[in-house]
Amino acid sequence: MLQTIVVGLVEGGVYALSAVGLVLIFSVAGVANLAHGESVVVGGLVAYAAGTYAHVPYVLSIVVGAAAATVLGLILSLVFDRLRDAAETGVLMASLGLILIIEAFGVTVFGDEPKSVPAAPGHVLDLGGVRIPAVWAVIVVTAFVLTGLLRLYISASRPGRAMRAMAMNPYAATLMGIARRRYAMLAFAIGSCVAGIAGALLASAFPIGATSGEDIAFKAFIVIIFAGLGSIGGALAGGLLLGVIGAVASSYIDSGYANTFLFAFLLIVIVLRPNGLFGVNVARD
Amino acid sequence: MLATRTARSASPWAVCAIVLLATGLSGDQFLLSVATTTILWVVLAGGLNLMMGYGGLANLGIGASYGIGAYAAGLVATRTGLPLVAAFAVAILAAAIVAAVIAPFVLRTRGLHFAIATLAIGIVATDLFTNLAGLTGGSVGLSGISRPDWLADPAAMYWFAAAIGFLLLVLFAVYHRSRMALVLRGVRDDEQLTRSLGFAVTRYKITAFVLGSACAGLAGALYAYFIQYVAPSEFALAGASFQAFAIVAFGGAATVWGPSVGAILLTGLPTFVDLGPQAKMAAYGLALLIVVLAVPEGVVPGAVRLSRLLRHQFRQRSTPVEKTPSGAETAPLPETATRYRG
Repeated sequence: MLQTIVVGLVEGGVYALSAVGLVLIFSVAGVANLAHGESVVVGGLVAYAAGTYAHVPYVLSIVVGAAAATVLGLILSLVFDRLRDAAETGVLMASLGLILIIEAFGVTVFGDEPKSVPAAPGHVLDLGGVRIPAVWAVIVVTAFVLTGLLRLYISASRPGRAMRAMAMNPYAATLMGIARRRYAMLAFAIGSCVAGIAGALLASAFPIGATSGEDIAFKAFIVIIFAGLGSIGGALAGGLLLGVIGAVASSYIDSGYANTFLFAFLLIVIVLRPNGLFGVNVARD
Repeated sequence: MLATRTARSASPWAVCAIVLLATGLSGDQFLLSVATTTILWVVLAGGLNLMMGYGGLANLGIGASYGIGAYAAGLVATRTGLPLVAAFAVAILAAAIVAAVIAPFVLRTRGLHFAIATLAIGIVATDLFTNLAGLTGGSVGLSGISRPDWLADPAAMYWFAAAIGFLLLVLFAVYHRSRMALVLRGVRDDEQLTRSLGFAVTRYKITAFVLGSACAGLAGALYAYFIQYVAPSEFALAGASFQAFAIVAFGGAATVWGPSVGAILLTGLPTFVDLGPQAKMAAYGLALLIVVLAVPEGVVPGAVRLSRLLRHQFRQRSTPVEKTPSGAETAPLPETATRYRG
């Protein structure tokens, strides 16, 4: 049981990191970026390539992966900036197009099989009978540390304040002289960077494939919706919760129904508490 | 003027009828099967358009209704000796009833939340199709759906699908002009305002949701009889729901012809293009991206706007002296409500 929960926390850490970036993008740039999962995948695959072909040390490969994801985030922000006034369906369609293009590119370059970052620290910690590979611990710790740093940045720094203003009311923020476009790009860059780190770490613990982005993006969306849009701490808690629920469900219920269980839970939360479990009281849509 | 207007509104119907007839008379097996598949998508995406186009209800779980229709028709066909009509009726009813039960709950959400909630429904439905092996045959699927004698021939199957598709297009055109569609547009653009005008908004939304789902159920029944084999992967997110969504958004939401044009361009045409799977996928994605950036409202409204613009310019050039003040006839662009984003 304990082992299951630990596995859930590790998966949840990845979901949490993806969701934290997504929530930042969603609230600051106002874009439902369904292509966010691609940042995770690009981070993972580029880290894999850096480790395998360029033989860079482990930590550097993560940095390279994160940098690649950041660049992708900037490209995405340029596309979505042009869709500022488009309807939600337009944003969804653009996301869908971007996902297909990036996935086709990823499969062409990296092939179909999932990849792992080489040279990840291999030792296993033994905590009272629960065996935890060091990478797993790194994932969970990173999730907490990065979320904490991001919260600090958002609440205490000047750019953070500007981004919060944009999240509250983009129009008023523009009137106050906030360079809306620049901060939307910053949000995309930071969000994708965090996602890239999540991807690189994920790829060092479990293999990651070029087409796994969609699934990660759905999970991240589920997290931010049941955590409540606009809450970074909520995204962390929601991600970890989702991971644990998923892991427990797949080992104690018939594993074919694990998804059903997870999504049924999501549906109940959405219908009963439209503002999310840790609801910040913002508009619903 | 009136005559040209009538001709203008009748011409898409003529083109549609000619295309359907010409395809059927060509007798080319490959073309017939591609055309039948395209009609399936027209029916499915047309159903989605009823809720997503007019009411702004982006249902990303339409694949669930599609699958329910297909499995219902398949079960009736394989387990009972009932005729095709019964299978279709059961398929449509099953999809409609499930939608009616779900609707009051999911319609408590709106916008992005609605999209994610329906996406969840789609995923749960795929899981159920796979796991309820006793009923659905699990991941192996449901095979042995036999067509009645009069439908055995591929050409007969095509004519059958074409007739249903054409009939549905007529119904879509009626819906397009209905009071209900008008109220739904109001809901899409400003739900609170529409509610404040005294319209029972929720009831309209539920009706649209159920109608669209029933249409998806019909598409499912057509699928079951066309392919004669039903498996869960066909109704999954990537396979059905996203494709239907893309067709509606690409062709033009809240238009009669949008889903048809979208289905032809996104599902019919690519089968004739000779590219590798990855290149095809990238081209598809690129097409979506280009359309959403260039004509956000979709291909059909974009084309209509373009042709009006050209006609207007042409008319101005041919009669330069007589500059009429902007009347209803010469207005170059339709008045569209600007979206208020607070």
